[in-house]
Amino acid sequence: MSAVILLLITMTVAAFVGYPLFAAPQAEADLEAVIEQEVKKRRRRRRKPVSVEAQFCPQCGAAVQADDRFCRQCGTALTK
Amino acid sequence: MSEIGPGVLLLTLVTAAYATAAFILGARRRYPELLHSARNAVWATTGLTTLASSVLVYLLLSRAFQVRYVYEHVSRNMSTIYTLSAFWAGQEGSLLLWLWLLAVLTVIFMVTTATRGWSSLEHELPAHALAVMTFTQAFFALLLVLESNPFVLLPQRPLDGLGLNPLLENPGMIYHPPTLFIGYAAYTVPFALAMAALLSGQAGGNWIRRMRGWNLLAWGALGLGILMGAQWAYVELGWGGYWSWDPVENASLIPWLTGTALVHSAMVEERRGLFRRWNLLLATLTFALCLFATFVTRSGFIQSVHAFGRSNLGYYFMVFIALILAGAIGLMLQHRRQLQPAAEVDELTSRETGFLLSNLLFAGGAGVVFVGTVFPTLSEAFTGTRVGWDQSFFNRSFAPLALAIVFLMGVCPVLAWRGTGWIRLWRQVRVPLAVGLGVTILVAGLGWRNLASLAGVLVAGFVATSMIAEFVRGAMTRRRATGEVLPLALWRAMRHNRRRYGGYLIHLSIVLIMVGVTGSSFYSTDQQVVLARGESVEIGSYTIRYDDYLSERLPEKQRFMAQVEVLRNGRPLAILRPENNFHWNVEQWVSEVAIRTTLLEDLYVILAGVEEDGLATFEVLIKPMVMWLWLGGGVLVIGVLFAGWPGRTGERGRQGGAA
Repeated sequence: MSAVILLLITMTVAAFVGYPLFAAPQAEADLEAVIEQEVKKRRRRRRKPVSVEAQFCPQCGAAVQADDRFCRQCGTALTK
Repeated sequence: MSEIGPGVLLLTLVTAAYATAAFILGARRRYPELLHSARNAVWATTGLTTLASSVLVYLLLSRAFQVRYVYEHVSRNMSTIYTLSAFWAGQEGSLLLWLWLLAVLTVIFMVTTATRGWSSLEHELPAHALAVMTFTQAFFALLLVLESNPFVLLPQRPLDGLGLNPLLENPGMIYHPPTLFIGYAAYTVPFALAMAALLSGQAGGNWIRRMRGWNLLAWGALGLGILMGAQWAYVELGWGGYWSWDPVENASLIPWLTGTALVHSAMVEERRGLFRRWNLLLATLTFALCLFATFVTRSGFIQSVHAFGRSNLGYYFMVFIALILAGAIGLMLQHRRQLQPAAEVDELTSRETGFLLSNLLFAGGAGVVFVGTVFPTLSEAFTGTRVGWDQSFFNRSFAPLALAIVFLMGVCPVLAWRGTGWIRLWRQVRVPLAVGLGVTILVAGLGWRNLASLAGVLVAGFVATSMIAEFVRGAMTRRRATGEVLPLALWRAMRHNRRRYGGYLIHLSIVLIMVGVTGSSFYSTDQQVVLARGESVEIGSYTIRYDDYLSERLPEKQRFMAQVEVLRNGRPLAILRPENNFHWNVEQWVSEVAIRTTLLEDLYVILAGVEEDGLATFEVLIKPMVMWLWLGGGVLVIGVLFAGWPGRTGERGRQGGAA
């Protein structure tokens, strides 16, 4: 009796876990999303890490910190 | 029913291991169908562990004594609720509980972190995290299948079971272990996210943000579980204490300390990009220590090195912990480039410095407790003689660290990120310091003369004032800006920065707990008296009159109960009924204490014994401020819920965040 129950449980689990592998491939829209994400990720990878020491104000040339929004010397808005 | 148990556990092992492989392959090869299958495997694992747990519950409730676990932990005269709690009374059931809680948390994590479709690469981080979590599930399933199977049958069916140890028959048994285990199991998530960040090459990324809620949940549950255990010990064990630096207690305290460090250092990474390696390390260590605690509690390894060989469980845990540590360190070395800090600590009076100091203190505290806990066992293993420390080692080395940590709680919130300047710092702390000093002088005048305890009062007064000042400042600023009445302004200010004010509430709860610990550690009194019926005795400000006693034979025990009336200045305050019972199943005396609790002190009466002629021996303890510990526990829960409740934390920009 319990062997039958166990067998039934095993089969149910196997079917539930296995069916996505044999289902139809994902729709086009999903593929678009994948490509979109991949592009984003590659962009992120290419962006250089912000270094603290090597940043200067484009207006007056004073050194600025990584998360300053304005130059401490001349007040120019800094964009990253 | 018991026959399907082992099969279900084996199936759990298979689905969990499959999920691990499928998540990693699916994420690496960008194979959405495989990820879908892995997610189904997570659901299946949870369903299967739920089924296995239900089978065990059914066996316990139906008193199926042919199952060894049921026989060892249940007896016929146990009430339903304690029969249910026998689920976690033994090693096998506890490990099953661990697995089941982890499975449920894994599903919650899966459902809440990835709401939109799973094919996108945004999910590389959760997929790897789920791989780590299912790997942990597979480990516990393996233990249950090979070493610690709760469904093992006895050769024949006994008529009755052994039942629960009477010390465990306390409401504490119902809520303390599961709460602690929720904490342990929930620490899998921060660890899994840390490893996922490394595995998916996003170590500098947003794993910290995703971890926050889980970290708080785990930390809060573990802290609450520890306090519940302390309260249980206090009301049940009958020696008037709540903490004895017992290895099992220490084992749960150590991950809580490293977890506390993680809660704080994570904030620094979130805001300033510092402490990256340290955070990964803390998440790993905390999880490893949770596993260590589970194993210590269940194996008796710390009590004696000889307990180690009794089952192979210890080796499994050691190997798993070693694997975790080696894996984490290996991954961190591999990705060390990404782990460079984004900035440096600028100034000594900055909040970063405060966090750094508090982290060092938490780590130091955890280290002290860890060494004190394992040293006796190590010395036994290497030299054959057991050399250990008594409680005073822990008290002397831990108390100063704790005091310093609490002191920092008063200073850090007024420190600004990047730097404050000494003069501004002094202006912020001078009023709280003065209040703290005033409270100390007042308390000293009332009779507390011990210097260490006065230091505790000074720090507590300082920190409490500093915290309350933060609330007042927030409310006043808001009232000025909006014209709202003060209580409304306070509530709205708090709601708009739940992280900060939730943190402050938690800090206040720690102050309450510290006051409770200080009062009860330094000013408790303990007196033994022998009284005949009708006699009374003066203890402290109380008069204690022994009125009557009762003795009766019950199916599970011989019960002795004394009735004691407590008076002050001739006015009756309370009637207490301490008991001392002989339990047949363990052939042992178990005392049930009677406690009269007030905000200022507890009167704690133990019935040590009753003679044939009614002559009774009592132990009467007066324990000041114990109530503050439990009040602190309540505030702690409120603070954690306030700070960690999902949804908008209402935090704006860069300000906020408790220190």
